[in-house]
Amino acid sequence: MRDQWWLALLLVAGAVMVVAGLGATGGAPNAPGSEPPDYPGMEPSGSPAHSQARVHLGVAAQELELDGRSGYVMSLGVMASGDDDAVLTFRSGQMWDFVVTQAGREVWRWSWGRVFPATVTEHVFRPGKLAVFTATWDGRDPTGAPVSGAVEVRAVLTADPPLETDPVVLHLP
Amino acid sequence: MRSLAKARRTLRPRLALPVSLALLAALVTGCFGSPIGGGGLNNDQRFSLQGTVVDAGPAAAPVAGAIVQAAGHETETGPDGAFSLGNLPVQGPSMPVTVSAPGYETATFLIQPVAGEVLVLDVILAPTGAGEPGDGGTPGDGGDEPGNGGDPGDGGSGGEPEDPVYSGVVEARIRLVNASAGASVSTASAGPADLLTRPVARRPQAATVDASVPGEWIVQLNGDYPVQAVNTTWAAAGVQIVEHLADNFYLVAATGGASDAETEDRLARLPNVVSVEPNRPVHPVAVAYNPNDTYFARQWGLTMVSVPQAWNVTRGSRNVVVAVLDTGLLPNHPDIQGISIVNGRNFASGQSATNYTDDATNLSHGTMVTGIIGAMTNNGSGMAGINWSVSIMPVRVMSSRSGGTVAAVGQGIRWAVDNGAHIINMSLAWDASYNDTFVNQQIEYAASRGVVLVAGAGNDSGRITMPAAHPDVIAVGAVDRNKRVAWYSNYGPQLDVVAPGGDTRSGQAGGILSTDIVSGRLGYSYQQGTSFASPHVAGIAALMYSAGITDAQEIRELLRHTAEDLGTPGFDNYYGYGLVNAYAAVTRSDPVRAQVSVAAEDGRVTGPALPQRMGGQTIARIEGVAPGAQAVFAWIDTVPDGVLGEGDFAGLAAVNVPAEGTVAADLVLALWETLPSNDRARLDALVNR
Repeated sequence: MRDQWWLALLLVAGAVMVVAGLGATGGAPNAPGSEPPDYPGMEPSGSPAHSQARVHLGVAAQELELDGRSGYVMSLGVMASGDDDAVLTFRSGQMWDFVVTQAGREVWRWSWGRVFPATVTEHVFRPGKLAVFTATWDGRDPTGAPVSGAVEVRAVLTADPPLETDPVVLHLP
Repeated sequence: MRSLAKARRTLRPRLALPVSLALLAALVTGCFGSPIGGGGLNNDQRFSLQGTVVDAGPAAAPVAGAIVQAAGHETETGPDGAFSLGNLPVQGPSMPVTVSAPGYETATFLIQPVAGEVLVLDVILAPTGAGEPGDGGTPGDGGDEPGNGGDPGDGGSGGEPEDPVYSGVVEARIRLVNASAGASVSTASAGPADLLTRPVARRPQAATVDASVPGEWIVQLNGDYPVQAVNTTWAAAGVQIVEHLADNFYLVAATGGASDAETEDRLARLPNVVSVEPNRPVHPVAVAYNPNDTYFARQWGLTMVSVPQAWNVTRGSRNVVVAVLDTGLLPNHPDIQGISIVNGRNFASGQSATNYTDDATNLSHGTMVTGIIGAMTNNGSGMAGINWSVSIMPVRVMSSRSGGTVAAVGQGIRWAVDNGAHIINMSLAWDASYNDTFVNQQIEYAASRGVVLVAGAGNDSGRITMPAAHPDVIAVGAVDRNKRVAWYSNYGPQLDVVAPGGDTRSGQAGGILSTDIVSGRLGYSYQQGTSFASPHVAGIAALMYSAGITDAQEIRELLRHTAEDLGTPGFDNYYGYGLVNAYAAVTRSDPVRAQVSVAAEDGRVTGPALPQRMGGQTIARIEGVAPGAQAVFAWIDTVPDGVLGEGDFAGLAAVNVPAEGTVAADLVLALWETLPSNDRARLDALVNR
């Protein structure tokens, strides 16, 4: 029941992302739903305390067309699964990834050729607050060749350890 | 007997004290040395060499007609064995001297010249072939054979006492430690006056008091201004600039009749004045210099890698350009806005080519990295940068929101090299399996242009990521505040060194503090990652550059070999060559410069020997050592005055030498000021006798 409503939200978020610009190779993450603590003055701040990480993940992917160009928008939704905040550690500035496979062979990965700050950070996911990460794929493999047929799309929350969604299937022309 | 002859060919350099004191007096009266940024040796500077050459025999007879050669000059000893060579150019931190005479073995040894000083040498020459079987020539050399078991001084066959020959060998592994490793580090609150000088030659008793020079101040302005224009503006204030010292520092003198306190107060209120400090006599030592920044005490990483000691040698220079390939920076941060920012560029998506401002509202990675390298320092607030003065070139290759691309990194490297960067810091990572020809070519282009490339090793507790994995890039791992490899730090054979990267798992204070944005407000935060270890090394490389060490390969080698060896002895995959040591690096205190000797309880000293690099370790081998309990000791004349004292590295260890064979020793050299007092007393007696 819970999965149904936030998967619907993911599709809305994906549509919004595409309207914002199909040419983008990756989308800005929504804020993970956390309000950082209010630090007085210029006092140094830091990461919040650890807690056991428990989150729900979901992935959605759909084909969209804008100005005659087709593409596939993928969305990863993350939300704390219990009643408490979930604090996850990330080993770099990368928080998410999308992986497309065909017959078990990887044909596209969002992070391929991307660079991230080498900082370890913690992010808070809160119950009832959905964090959405999106990316678009132009349907081509790294050599630029169009991919056709059925592919599987997985989303990865690149936390420590990484969390991966079950795949969703896209049928490419 | 050949080994005996070599063992007795001793060199006892010492300073001519009157000259040393004269130099000190000149400095105290305000005659400043070379300006910051020119900390390297000046080839125009001269020194003199004098002394005597004597025979190794018991009578120490003068050797007349011996040829003494140094720096392309030579002279001949007189009937009394005396020689004098004046007006010699200082050609480097150490220079060879050769002494030859008919009938004697030629002696070649290294000296550490100091400009303006007179170095006095007593050279003892061994007769050629002395003690060789059958030569029968040198009087009194027919003594004990090696290893015959006789105690030193137990006499031989009567007649003159003989020096016995021994077969014990001490093999000492020489390594440096940071100042924080010692029992204590003395501190001083010197003013920026000593920013303008190298540590000067001194003897321990030559320390100066910390009094102000009446009517003079070192004033930092918020930019470089023509002296005449400032003096015109300040005419009514009763002060005027006497000298433009370096960057935006000026020597200011009172011209009116007001008291110093009144004048200083007036100075501090003038427009464009950032800081005012009384001018002080030069401090002759390499003690820690602690700035007045509010959060300096929380910057444990700087103390851990001896940055405060390095600040007594150099505090950086605006002429050194460090490119920060990152998320851009927040130029309005109060601890950033006063620093020199040059040739910024954006190669990441979403902003114009000239807009290098970070788009972060929480965690500005590039601003944190920049702060570590060169935040405003000694300005009474915020944090201290490793460089008090440096030029930052912000090259934005990533967005704080979505990262960047390898292609943008390649473009950024090219831009930095072609626009004057000396050092490039890359606190970023991509998977090493992504092999991109374009970016590799740009890295190699930078290296071919002599640019120092530094990158974080990555945080995967796994193999080292790119660009750190590239052989032309200095790969930096991270340690926590206990000098343990950080839980996230990548490792492997490409690792060069480690530096403070922090660990916030048990509290924020274990992280690295730097300039940041928090909830949209400019401030400070603690973070962890090899992202923050890398700028520690890039910042130290910039200090080295400002101290006159400008060769990229030399910088890398010095960073490696002056590092504090941690983990498995020598190089290992987790710590590389060890924890960087800023003071040792800026003073070129490579342990191969150490003079290593062995001392017996009766005061007999064997050595010195110079160590050699063996694999990732520095090893000295001292042969012909008497059996029994001895002390192996070594020192580096870091403050090059021929005397062991403040600012030098030294250490000693006990060894039990066998009659035959080799004993290994682990010899840790620490900054003189941090050594236990009894070690200092012993070393002083051994070295400075």
